Amino acid sequence: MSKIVIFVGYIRQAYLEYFVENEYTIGLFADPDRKHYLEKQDIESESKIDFIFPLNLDSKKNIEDSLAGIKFKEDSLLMCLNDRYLLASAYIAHFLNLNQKQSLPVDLAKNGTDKMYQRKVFKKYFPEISPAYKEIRTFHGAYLFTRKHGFPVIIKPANLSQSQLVNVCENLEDLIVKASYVLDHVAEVYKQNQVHAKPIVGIEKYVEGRQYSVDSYTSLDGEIVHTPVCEQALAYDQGKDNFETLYSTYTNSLSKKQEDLVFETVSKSIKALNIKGNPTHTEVRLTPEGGCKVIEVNIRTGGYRAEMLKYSYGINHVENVIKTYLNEPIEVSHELLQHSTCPQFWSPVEGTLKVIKGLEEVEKLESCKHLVSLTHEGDKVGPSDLGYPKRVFAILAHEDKKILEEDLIKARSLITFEVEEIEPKEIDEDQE
Amino acid sequence: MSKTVIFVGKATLNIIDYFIKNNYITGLFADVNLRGLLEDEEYTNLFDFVLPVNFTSPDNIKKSFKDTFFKNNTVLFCPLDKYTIASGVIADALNLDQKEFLNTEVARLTTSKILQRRQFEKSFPEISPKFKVVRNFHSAYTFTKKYGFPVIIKPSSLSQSRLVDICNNLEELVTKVSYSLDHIGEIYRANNVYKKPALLIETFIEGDLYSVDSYITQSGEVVHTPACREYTAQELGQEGFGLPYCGYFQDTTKEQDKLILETVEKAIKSLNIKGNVVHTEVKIREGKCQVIEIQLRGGGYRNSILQLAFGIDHNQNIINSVINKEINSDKTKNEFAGYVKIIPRKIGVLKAIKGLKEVEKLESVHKVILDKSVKVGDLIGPNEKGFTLPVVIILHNKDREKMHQDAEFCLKHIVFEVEEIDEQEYQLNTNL
Repeated sequence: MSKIVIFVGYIRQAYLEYFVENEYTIGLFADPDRKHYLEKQDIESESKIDFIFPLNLDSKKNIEDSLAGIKFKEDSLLMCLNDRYLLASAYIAHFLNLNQKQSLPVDLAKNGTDKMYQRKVFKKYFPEISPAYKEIRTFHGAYLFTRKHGFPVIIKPANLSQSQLVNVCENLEDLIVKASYVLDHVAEVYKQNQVHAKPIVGIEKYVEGRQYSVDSYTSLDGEIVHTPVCEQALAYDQGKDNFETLYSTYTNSLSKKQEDLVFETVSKSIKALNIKGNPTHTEVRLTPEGGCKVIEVNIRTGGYRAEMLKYSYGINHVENVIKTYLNEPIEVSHELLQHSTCPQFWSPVEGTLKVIKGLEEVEKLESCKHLVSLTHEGDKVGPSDLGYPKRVFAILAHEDKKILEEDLIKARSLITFEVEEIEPKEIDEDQE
Repeated sequence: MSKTVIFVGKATLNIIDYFIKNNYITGLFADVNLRGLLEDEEYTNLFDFVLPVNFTSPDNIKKSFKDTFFKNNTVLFCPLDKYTIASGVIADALNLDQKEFLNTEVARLTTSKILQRRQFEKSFPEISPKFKVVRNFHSAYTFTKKYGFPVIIKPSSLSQSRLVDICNNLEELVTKVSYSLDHIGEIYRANNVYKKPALLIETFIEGDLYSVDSYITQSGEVVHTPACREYTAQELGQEGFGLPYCGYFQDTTKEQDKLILETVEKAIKSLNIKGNVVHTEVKIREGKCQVIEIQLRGGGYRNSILQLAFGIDHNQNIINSVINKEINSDKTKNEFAGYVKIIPRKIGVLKAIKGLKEVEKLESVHKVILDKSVKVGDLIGPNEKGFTLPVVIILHNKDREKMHQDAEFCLKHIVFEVEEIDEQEYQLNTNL
């Protein structure tokens, strides 16, 4: 086997480190429209990459033209860690005739990143795992949906990630403001995030309850292996007016029955989308009525799950992803070794960043394993519902759940953004 | 990072095999204008990756690498002289560490026999014969009037004795210089040599021909491999100016060895070569040694025959000279090894190659290498007429005389059955 891995568009730190440690030759098909291609864009990380080929990723034809005459051994690994490059990855696998084209056919990539398509197939195969939904093109479409299903509702673009432009509307006044904002800005935010798909906005019934996520590996013959359930704390659940994931936590807090229901729902969603030979990151909600509904499925791993799963369960997530691509047996433990959490931070105010305060103090916390600032002074920052990406994250892990919870609270209060406020619409081109 | 080596233009299977067996990641910067190269899946599948490059000019090479990045310590391996300058341009365009020692100036000097002669004349005139650049027959004629016969005519930038010929009298000069001048442009093009064609005439150096492969460290220290005896076609009673048989026969005296290596070292110093491997051909007779030419690469099949004769890992030493690691030229054995080139004497359409089976049974035959690009139905012909070499046989024996006998057998018994064509007509047609 040739030990070559090629990232498409974007590289996460944990993955980079895994491949360096395992002596892979590391390449990148770089998106020329993207300035920062590393989660941690510094000289040390850049020096770990062996080669970079620029690739015009914005259409099938441009990808084909960019790859003309280029060959890679068929067992080279493509690593797509960002939804926006999934379709491009499928085309690359196809044009380079890589083994991975079997597990990442173009149709799956096209549909797998479309939240509206997901709702359609869930409704067809397992209606019990999905809320009512509708694609909207105008405010009137959204209004009609609320007339039928009532409030609260969620408005979200079909192909964006990280809660970008995801809004909850509690009443008609909310709907007027938020649906109009999303419809007016969706094309622009797609463009800024280099999402090369037709902008689509959906509306769906808000699912009450706590949110969880599960990263799973599905073999080429459809066998699904789940990692443990991760609890997600959303800003909206804590009384805020957006859907930022404030933090995700592995603490084994669910009962066996609840856990089984989550796994069963996740399995149904994977089967409905006919995903094979790929990892998935699925978000679900356990409803107060005892049901479980899917928020969305992503054909990739969850953010920072590699680090958290390693600390909490000793699971080598990156290796398992590779084994999934290679159709090799997966090793997963559900025995909790440490509690872990990953707080994420957005600037609550839209503006030009002056300084992020509290970083050094958070790094000193007993449970802090890893803290990364993804931004610099002068960058445009803001909340996710206005289309901005997160700017700071940390990985905390500790055997003592109480210490972890205290550190999480401290971290959340210590990190603050000082910004110079700007007029809306000026969004930084550099994302992630 | 895994060990990565990228071949420039094209490489022989013999060299590629070495790096694959030694677990290198191998890449190819493939010449897009080399007929059938990118379509030859059997060949391109040998590499971990292949990138098409337009080698026709430095600007086109640079365009092929626009926005492309390779780690500074990536090693370029250029086994063919015609891509030496291109390698220098690539090293510079990609900002590789190698650019310091593989700069375009050194590349130009080592691929132009004219520039080499000029440089030797300046630094060590005793190692070089009289020479002149000829643009027409008259110019060659005036050279022979001044220096007499025999003379050698050769193109400045072709290898493998292509269009190299000896002229013993005026009649031969008329025929051969005219042929070379008429065909040189066409043969440069046919061999994808992207330089202005130039023909050189020089006084014939009497003596026995030897070649030496030498590794030069980045600080200029020269480590020589043993001298390799090269038998000319004339010495073996054949027509033409090829070198049908060469090898490590250990038949020189200590004084001869010393003189050969001193001459080679003078050639290297006059061209100021560092951090590279060179292949130098010299002729020695009665205490006088002169340089035929020096090339910035290893000699043909030297990795195999140096390994068989002395246990020297030639390719590793080449890499070590580039990355400034210690060279190990210690002999672990002292046997005899060489190779025989079976050169077609007539231009014709290949019907069959006879005698291969008998040859394979010989005690000294280590490997029979057939050029896969030469197929039944193809036009074949002598090297000096610009044709590719179809058969090479690697020999190895502890008994020198036995190896010589087997070499003789190979040269006699391998026969190219061809449908002869009218050479004059062929010349006329190709001139058109």
